[in-house]
Amino acid sequence: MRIGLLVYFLRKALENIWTNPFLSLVTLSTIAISMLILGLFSLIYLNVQQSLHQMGGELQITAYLQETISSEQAEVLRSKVADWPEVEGITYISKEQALARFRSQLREYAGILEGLKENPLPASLELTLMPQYGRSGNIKELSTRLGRLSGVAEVQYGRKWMAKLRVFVEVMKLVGITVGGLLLIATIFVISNTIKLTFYSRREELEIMRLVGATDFFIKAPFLIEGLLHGLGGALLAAGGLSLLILFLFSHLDLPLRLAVMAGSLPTGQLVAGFLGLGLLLGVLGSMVSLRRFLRP
Amino acid sequence: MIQLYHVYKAYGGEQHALHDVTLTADKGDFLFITGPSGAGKTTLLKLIFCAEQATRGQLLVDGINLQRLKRSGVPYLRRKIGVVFQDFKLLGERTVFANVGLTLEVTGRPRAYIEKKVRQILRLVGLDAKENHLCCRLSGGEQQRVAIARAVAANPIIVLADEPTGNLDDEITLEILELFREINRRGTTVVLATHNRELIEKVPGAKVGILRQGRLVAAGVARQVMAQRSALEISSQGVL
Repeated sequence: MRIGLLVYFLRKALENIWTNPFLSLVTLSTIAISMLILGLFSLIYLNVQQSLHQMGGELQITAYLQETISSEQAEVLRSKVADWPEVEGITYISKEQALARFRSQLREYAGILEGLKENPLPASLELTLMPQYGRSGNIKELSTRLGRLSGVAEVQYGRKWMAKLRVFVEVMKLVGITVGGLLLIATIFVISNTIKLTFYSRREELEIMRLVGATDFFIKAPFLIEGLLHGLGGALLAAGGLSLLILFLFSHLDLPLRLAVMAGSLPTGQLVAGFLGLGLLLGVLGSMVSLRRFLRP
Repeated sequence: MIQLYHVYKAYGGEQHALHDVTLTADKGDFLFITGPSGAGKTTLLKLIFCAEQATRGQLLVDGINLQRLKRSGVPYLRRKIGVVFQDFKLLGERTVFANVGLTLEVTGRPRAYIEKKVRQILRLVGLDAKENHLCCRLSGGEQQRVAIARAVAANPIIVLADEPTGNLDDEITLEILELFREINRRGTTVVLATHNRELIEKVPGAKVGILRQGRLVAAGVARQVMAQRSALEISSQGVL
């Protein structure tokens, strides 16, 4: 396409926007708000998911061993469990090591152990799991299996809340997709309505253009560009709004969550590019929906 | 240039707006389509520039069979035909320049070309001093000139005009007719629908087609056809 023609279409699209400034403002705001909500959802989802992924490596199960078990028997047990595919790492913690750890970790309570004649802490095997086996079902099943081994007195895993968090993330993903989908459809509808109104306000001119030999493409192009500009503008506003929101969270809220840290570490360039891409797509789809209806023979 | 063979046009009901019309206009012809109101003059013009499609029959414009023309081909056909509408179809809130330039804009012509061409056409129709005036502020005769200027701006091979002098006084009517004659002298085929017989007599060498209730009742060289019609009318009055 000739540059001159492209400039002409762009000029016409800007004229359309300028003709209905209030309508354009409402459209831009609607797109921006929809995308902002969608962006927030994605951001929270991505953060929690990333956090979970990182925490996956820390999934730990402790198998406390019976008092009667010797260190040789414990070693046999350790190498046996180490071969299980779910197990990423396994460490044997002897009674003495357990006591030393207790003393160093809980210095202020160390006194309570002094009166004891013998070490009350059991030896244990500490297992870390492969991240892909971090689901609650896997952990439960593994714990039962561990508990059945002879020499194992008790099995503990202290991250039950993680399983709940995973369920929460899955629910959030579902809600996000549903709400996001609805918002996107609403955005397409808003853009299509704006184009429709502009089309109506210029229908006399468009009719004359058609009578004097304008092709459908020539009539459509400025409206497509108008939708595109709305989509892009809304996306830029949303990206700006989201960045400001993240900055605000950083500076004004004392978030103990990983969330805040993660938000800062998210690739902003990718986020903006994603927003712009989505904005373009929404703009084109929105205008095409209305133009298809209006340019039917 | 324009060939109609046994053309019929019906709008839903039994009554045909056009009934078995066969008519031709060659390159450079000045063809009048005349007849009373409702005779089918406007319908005939609409068929030629594809605003309507014939129910039956064959229409050829510049060798293109309109019955087989795809929707995507219509704009390109329309660029060969300039149309002066009965209601002008001007954008009242736009300037004279913008209205005339529209025909060239839609073909994607560069700005500089449009400016040069529009000014040239406005000189032809005598509106060069009013290029920046809004069309809604112009008189009926001036608006008609703008409509003519727009119709010829893209150098069409055919100009169709539907009752172009319908609401104008005699003096302006003659001026407008002179404009069409000038356009015709430059080689453009002109088809002018009118119910004003006096107009036909003022164009020597013109052709005419007379429509009555959708049927072509006479066609040929205007002077001969009109003379025959007059003789017929006189004799029928004599019989009465």
